[in-house]
Amino acid sequence: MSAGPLRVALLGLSSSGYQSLALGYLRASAEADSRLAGRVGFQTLDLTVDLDPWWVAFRVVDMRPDVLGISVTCWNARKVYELCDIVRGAMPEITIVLGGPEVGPIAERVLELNPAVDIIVRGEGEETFSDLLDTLSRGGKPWRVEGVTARREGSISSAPDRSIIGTLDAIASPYLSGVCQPLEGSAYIETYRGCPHKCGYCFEGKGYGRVRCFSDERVEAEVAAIVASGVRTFSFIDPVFNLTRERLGWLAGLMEPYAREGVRLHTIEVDIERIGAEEAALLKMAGVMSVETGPQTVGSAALAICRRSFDRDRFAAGVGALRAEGISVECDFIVGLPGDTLQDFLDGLRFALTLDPGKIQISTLHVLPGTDLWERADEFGLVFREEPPHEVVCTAQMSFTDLRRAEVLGSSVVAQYSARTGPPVAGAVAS
Amino acid sequence: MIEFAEITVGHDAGVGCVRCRPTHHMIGSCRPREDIVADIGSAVDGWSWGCGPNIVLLGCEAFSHPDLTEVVDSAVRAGVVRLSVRTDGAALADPDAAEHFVRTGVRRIEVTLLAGSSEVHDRLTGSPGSFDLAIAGMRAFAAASSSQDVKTTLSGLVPACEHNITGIPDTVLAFAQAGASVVTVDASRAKRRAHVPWLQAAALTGVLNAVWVSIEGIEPETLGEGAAHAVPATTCRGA
Repeated sequence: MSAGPLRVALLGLSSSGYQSLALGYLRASAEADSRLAGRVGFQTLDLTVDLDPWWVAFRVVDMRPDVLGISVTCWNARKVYELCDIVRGAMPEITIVLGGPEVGPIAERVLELNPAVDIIVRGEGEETFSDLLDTLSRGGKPWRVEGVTARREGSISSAPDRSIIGTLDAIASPYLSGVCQPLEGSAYIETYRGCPHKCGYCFEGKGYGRVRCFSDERVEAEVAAIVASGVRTFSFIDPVFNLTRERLGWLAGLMEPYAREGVRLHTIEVDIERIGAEEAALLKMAGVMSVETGPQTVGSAALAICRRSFDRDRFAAGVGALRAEGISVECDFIVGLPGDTLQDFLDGLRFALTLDPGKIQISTLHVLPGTDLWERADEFGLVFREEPPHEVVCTAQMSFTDLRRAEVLGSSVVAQYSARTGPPVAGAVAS
Repeated sequence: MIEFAEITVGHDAGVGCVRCRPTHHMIGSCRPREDIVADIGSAVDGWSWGCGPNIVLLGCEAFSHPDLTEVVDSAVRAGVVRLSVRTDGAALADPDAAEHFVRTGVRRIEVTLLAGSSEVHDRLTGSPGSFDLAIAGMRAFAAASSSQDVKTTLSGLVPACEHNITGIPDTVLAFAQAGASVVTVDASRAKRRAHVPWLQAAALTGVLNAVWVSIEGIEPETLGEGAAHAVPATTCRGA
């Protein structure tokens, strides 16, 4: 460690045009922690995942940090591991800390496979990371910090899990603290954590447990800060924007004055089967241009395995209500869910095309660490790549070649669907 | 999956194998613009095939129709959502023409190739230089779409026969390299047992190059594990 304050570099490798909200939370929380004041200094490197890890390593090493903290997802994990190797070679004394949904659920395994990595923060990171920095800055033992897995004299040791943060407002805001500068089109607000659904392929509901909300005042302040920054289009990262009818009404009321001034929301995730004319009108009032939703599959076996419900008529009614308000709907499908056959996939595509939602998105299943499908893969006959991003290889119902055929057919149909002469199905929201 | 109503803009023999049909050189004729526009109106008014209305202009080399710009304008005004043109691709080899028709509203072209090389394609069509023009047309269309930031798609048509069956996988590859997302192989004249492996190979070539190959005119079971390739990404029907 260097003399003086502990120098911490926070690194995000996101898709082009995006910034890491996770790093914003971590830094804002740590900077707000009085224990760290004057003892820890931060720098953030918000870069894109397409960059050469050698170049990223150059940026990191040039900062001469004592601690490097990286947010890891299935999308950037391979690059992160390669980067860690390079940085470790150049800076043998650095402490490398990883966190995020890709590494938290399999912390010990990540440390076993990646000798360059020292510490994994498991679960919700804000409190744990601040505690960890406090411990490191005092020369303490990281493996004693709740929620941390770390190397300990040649072995790997995990401290007990940390309880989820009870009051979300205790977490400093990345926007209100000034840590994150909102970007046009890619600023996101989180109004709650957790998910009411427990879909087998998703970590959201399982990782965070129960749903916890930020206070109304906190959300109102963040929206105001984003709009005041000049951003005209942003989104909410909530898994279900219409969590309850009452909450939707509140959010619509909150956004309405901004929507009247031209502020727009894009790619809001909704539970479309609970959207009727009234809810669609509220979304329009909130300035929502586009929503994203399932059904992910229409196959009854996959729905059961993944613990999802699907009501064809209610889904169609939801799309119809949103289209009537001029809101574009993105229907998402996952290729390779256990239980699904090629015919199920085709049925789903045909269903979506019948609805003419505006956008259809098809992605291949990634069996994410900590999810139900990850833990029960053998039971379901699910074969997937152990290495991130953990793409499905084959299922009990679909061979490797069937899955690849489904991917190609799906993307070809989407290409045909997207090539429109006329205007999009749903036009811009009227002011 | 996605339906297109066929709108006939004229009559000629189209791109085909002169060894199968020596009359493929016959001169085409164009229908009057008013008749075409009336057909488009009927197709739009009676649309009942899911997302759309979508039309494909075919019957003769549509880009040689003197009123094609006006026809496309009329289709856009009538509310056509997806407008496709079946072509030999040659007219679009001129980048200005490609830019013009993308700007006008053409969002999809269906180009016919008989082979994956100029040598074989030109010999089978009896039109020297036609392969290079088709490829240049597809590339110019894609470039125009990119320059105008417009989503378009390129589809390939391959009429299979005993004279080109062994080259069908190469033909699919040529389409893939030109940027096609879908290739339809008409196997109605290639039904012999010995033809099936070439059709299967064509389908696999497509999968490996992210192009969906649908094989029409043959019983799906004939394709064995590739039976799924009987599923078309798009279907064209008489309006």
